[in-house]
Amino acid sequence: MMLLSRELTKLFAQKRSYVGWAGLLLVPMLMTLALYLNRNNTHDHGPGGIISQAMHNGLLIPVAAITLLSAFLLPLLASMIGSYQLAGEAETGTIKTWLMHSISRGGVLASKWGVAVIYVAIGLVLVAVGGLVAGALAFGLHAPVLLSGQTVSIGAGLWLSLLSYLYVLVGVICVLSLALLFATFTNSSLTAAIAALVVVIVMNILGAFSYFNFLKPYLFTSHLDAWQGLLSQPIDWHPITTGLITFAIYIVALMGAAWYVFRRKDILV
Amino acid sequence: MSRRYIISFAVAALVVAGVVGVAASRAQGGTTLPSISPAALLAKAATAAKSPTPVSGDVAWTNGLIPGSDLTGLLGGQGSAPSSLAGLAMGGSGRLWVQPGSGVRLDVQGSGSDFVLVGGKSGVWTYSSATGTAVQYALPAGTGTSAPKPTASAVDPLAAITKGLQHFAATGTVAVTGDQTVAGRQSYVLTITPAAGITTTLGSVRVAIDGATYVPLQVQVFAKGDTTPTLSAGFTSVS
Repeated sequence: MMLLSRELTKLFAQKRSYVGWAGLLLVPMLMTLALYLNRNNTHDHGPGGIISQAMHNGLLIPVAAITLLSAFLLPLLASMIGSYQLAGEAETGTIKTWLMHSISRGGVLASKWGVAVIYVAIGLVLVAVGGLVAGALAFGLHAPVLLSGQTVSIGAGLWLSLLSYLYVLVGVICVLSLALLFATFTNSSLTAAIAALVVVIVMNILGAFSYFNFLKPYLFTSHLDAWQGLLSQPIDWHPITTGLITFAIYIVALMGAAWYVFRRKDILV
Repeated sequence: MSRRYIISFAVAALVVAGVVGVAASRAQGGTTLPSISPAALLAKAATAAKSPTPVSGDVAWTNGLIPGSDLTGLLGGQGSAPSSLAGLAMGGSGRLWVQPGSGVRLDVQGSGSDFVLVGGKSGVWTYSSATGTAVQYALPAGTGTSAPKPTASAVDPLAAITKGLQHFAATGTVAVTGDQTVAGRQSYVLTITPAAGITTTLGSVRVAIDGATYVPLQVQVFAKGDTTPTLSAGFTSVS
């Protein structure tokens, strides 16, 4: 816990933390602005789906924003923060001093993972709150129409949005853990971040071709969209539970491997 | 250094093997079904269709007659949902609810949008959240009063499959060709092959019938000499 609070201090003291958060906050704002300025254009119905429905209901802006973010910006930020936690310390040469103290390496790794998760969670809160405020100002909050056509109350809509965000958070933690594992191999945070992103993109491409359909259940990227089942009535729980189980297996395996490597790593710099 | 790599890759390989193992053990059923004659199976299926019980589950269908895209949606797990009835013909997957006698509901989920089809006595409705439109398809005039029975069977796909099966059995050979696990249920496979005298490109039609409830779970149409089905539709899980 003490390690984690120290990590949090470092997180809030770094400028790069705020750049990522600002980017995340900007997306729902820009989306709301674009939809708002385009609201009188009856010929253009927008990209369709949730984003088009958000044009009439500010409540759906957070959910619409996450569909845009979960494809690229969120995995990017997760791999940046995950890799920087360990490899960044190696780059600045602070990890050697730090590990000379009587602290457990497992605890160091756990606090690094924890602070990265907190970073992504704060980012998601910013997206949700920013999107909700901007959406409320631009379009007002109304009872949302689900993807399957039913209308639910505002409270139920907010609850479903929260569940969607929690699901996306768990999915993004997979990317973050992957980056953290790569960061235990290398002393360059950029290398680790790029390696993690490459894996994510390769998984996306494998998932995009029907020939590799047999691989799909085992790629975590093909489960990242499953939260949209929350927006159908009755809720499509099956892909959501499958996704969560897949994410859990990935996170445990990746962090287990990271712990194994980091526990006995020679710190030379 | 190299030992670390080997061990972390071994951990990853173990996890993958574990996942595959769990999936495989879930896919295979336990016991084999007692043998049954085709006629008895058809009769049981017909009885099951007469006293229908509600069925729901995940369904998937493919259509090899219409060439489709190989890409199922880049940067995202799922492709987009169809926005019209015609789009359904391309093949797809979704959730199906069947309440015999009153109607069906099909929900096809895509990336960011759903396509919902609701069929009942009053007609067929579709809703697409991609376009934000709902369409009502009226049933042919007179179906409400003069011929209510065909309407009911047209609305209930399970009864329709059973009925079609019985018609086809007259012009071909029907055989029970073993067991198969479909949608996690141990099922009989009923294979219908056209009679030798008939010139056709049709190889065979295989219908998987649940061994316990005698509900048809899957229909596959094979072209002559082909091992992958040209047309297939069925449950991937039943709840």
